[in-house]
Amino acid sequence: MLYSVIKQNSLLISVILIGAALLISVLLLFIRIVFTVWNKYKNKVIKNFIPVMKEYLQTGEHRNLKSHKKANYFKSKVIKKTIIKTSFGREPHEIDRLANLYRYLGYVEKDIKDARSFLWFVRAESARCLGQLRIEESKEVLRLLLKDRHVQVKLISAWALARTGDAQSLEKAMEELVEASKMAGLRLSSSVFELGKKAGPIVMKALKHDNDNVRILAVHLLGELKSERAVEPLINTALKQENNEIKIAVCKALGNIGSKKAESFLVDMLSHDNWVVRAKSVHALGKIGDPKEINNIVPLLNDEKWWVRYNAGKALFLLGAPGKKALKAEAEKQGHSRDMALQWLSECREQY
Amino acid sequence: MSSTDILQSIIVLYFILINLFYFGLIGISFFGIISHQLRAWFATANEIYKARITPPISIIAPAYNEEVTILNSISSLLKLRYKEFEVIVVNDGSTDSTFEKVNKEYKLKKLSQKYHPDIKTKQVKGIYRSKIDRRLVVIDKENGGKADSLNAGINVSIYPLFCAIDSDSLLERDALLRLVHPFMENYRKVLATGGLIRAINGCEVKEDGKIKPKTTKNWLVNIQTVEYFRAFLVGRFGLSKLNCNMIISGAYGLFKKAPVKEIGGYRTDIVGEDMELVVRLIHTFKNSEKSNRIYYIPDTVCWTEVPEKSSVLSAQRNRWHRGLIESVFYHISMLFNPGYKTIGFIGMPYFLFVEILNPIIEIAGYIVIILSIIIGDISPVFIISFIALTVGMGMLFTSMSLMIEELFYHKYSGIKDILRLLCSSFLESFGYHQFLSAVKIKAFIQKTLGFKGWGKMERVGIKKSEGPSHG
Repeated sequence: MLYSVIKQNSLLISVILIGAALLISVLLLFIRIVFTVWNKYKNKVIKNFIPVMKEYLQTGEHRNLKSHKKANYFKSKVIKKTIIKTSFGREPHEIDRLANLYRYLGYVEKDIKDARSFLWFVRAESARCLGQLRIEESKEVLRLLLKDRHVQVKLISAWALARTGDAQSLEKAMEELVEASKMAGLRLSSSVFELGKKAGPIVMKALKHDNDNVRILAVHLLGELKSERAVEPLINTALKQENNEIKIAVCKALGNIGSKKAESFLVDMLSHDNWVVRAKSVHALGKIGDPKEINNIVPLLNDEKWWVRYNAGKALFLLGAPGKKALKAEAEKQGHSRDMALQWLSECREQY
Repeated sequence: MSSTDILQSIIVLYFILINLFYFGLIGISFFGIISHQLRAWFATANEIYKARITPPISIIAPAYNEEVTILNSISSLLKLRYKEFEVIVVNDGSTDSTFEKVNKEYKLKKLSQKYHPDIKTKQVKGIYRSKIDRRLVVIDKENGGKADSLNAGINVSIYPLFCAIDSDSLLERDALLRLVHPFMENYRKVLATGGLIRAINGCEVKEDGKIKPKTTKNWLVNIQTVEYFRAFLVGRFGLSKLNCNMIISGAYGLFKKAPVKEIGGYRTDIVGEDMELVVRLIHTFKNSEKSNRIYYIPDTVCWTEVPEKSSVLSAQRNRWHRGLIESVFYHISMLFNPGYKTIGFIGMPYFLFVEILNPIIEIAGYIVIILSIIIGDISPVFIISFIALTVGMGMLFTSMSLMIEELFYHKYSGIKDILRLLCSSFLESFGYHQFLSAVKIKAFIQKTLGFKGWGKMERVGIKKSEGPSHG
């Protein structure tokens, strides 16, 4: 039946198909022309707006901005993007001035309205713009967006809240994001840096959170903050937990912080049943760089797991001349430790 | 109903089913790419780069007689934007000056590191590290083929993820950042990721590694360029959305090392080792609690040299097709197996009935038409309209792929390039398509007869322009 329909109308069908392909081709060329025209228009708008914006940044006066306030849809899109782009890498006082300009042109109001859009990417974009310019009055709407059903919106609003200096929302952000995506670590580490010292006590408090994943995230974030004050709470957290994932994260964080106060805990972890804990703790000892620990590190060159042996060799390598001496001594012996010592000695020869 | 009528009916029905499937795939890809691009907009390469959770990666580049391209490739790999990675070049017993060139440029130093082959390989003569850039490791080994070299690279690599690439390919600066993103989202579940591959012939490569895409005067290259759009932007991405993509190109794929080691690495006794590895990983881990997801990322770009001569193209496609046949038949037990869900009911049937059987049915179609003409059973109008139908379908699919490329990636900036690509999508149906079908049938016959050769791939090298790029 279908065959006979096709057989009878094959010429017509093929003409339709070729016509459709040609139509798409024409559409493709049309899109290219639209892109070209749009780029030209955009460049023209930017060229006109930049001198006015620079003048505003210097003087803080609105006098030449009135015409831009009543810009059409396309022009206002370009201006808004230009302000946001200009704000990257600026000093706080310059961002404040750009935020005022943004406010004056009515974009803050519009972004707060867009934050309630039914399209997730519109909500995310509005949070990104409000956060980038540290808009104070956006905190309330950003806190609402933390509970958004879309993970990208949660991520951006967490970062945006940190940009506005809202430290109180950090724990809530951790709770909301930790189950959603590993990328939470990404945005929250940038949030923690945005908040600076204010973040420390809040993240330390999260070490006692009921949820394992929140605690692991807190450990990672404290490692990023590199604060010596976090060493003791981190060790206590690891000692209280059966969870190896937390122990691994703590060893990694202590290595990042690099404090000698962590040494005795890390030495204890060298004999842990879990090989990843051993590998991370020996690596952390290497990063801390205390030659006193050489005798504790050397036995791990004979560990049954290659990765632990590799990290032990690396730790000795990181300890410089005393570590090299220990590697040389091991290279004289037989077994696993000899292979690994020779490998790291050849690395040392390049380095020293 | 005569026997030619029955044959005609079967061929037309097959034609209808395939094209309906393609239409579905285009729709899935189109909406999938919109969704992917929106997500990528809020997790830019810059943000991923700044993240402290990017897992370190070992890049493994096997090289056999690659003296023309090897230095450009290494230089581009070392310029990749990524926190922690090593580049392992495996010199697979090259008979030209590949090793000497690398040694001279990067001042290699032999390591006393012992070679512990978790996966068996041909003998490794030495492991070297560059004095200029410590991230570069070179393995000098006896010739054993690409799969054997990749296995040697896996044995020597130190990081938990490895990226297998062809040493004649160039990766865009942020390519690894994009490729690793699915691992960052769900490290436990993701097994491998693959990305988009584009043709580099004719493009300008700046000194800083940036690439300005251009088409060429060689129509064979331009046709392959549009063919790659269709294969990657529509085919693989669409299949990936249906969770049944079974191919990660050997030129560009990121894998978790532990499961690959667990299944014994790449098979060295076949020609399609890259596809077979992915299919074996799926076959082994699909129903396990371990990592089992394969992702395809449409916006990471690896640029590779495509053949400029029909003889080289024929050898390349012949090898690919034999590889495909091997992979499908070694794991045929997944076909229509409910345990493998979409792989069993969409992926495997697609590769078997469309990719493998299509050339045979197509050529059978031409024979039926010729027979029908001889018998006088068919009108010339039908023949013309059937050919027009095939051409129309081909043009429609290719132009839709071009539309996706233009709307979302917009790589080719000149109108001349767009016109050339459009013309290529038309020209593809006249000769090129039939040529590939013939090559595939030859590959099918060779495979049946047990032929295992690789064929020769000539390289012209990548054209570098002077001065840094702008924009």
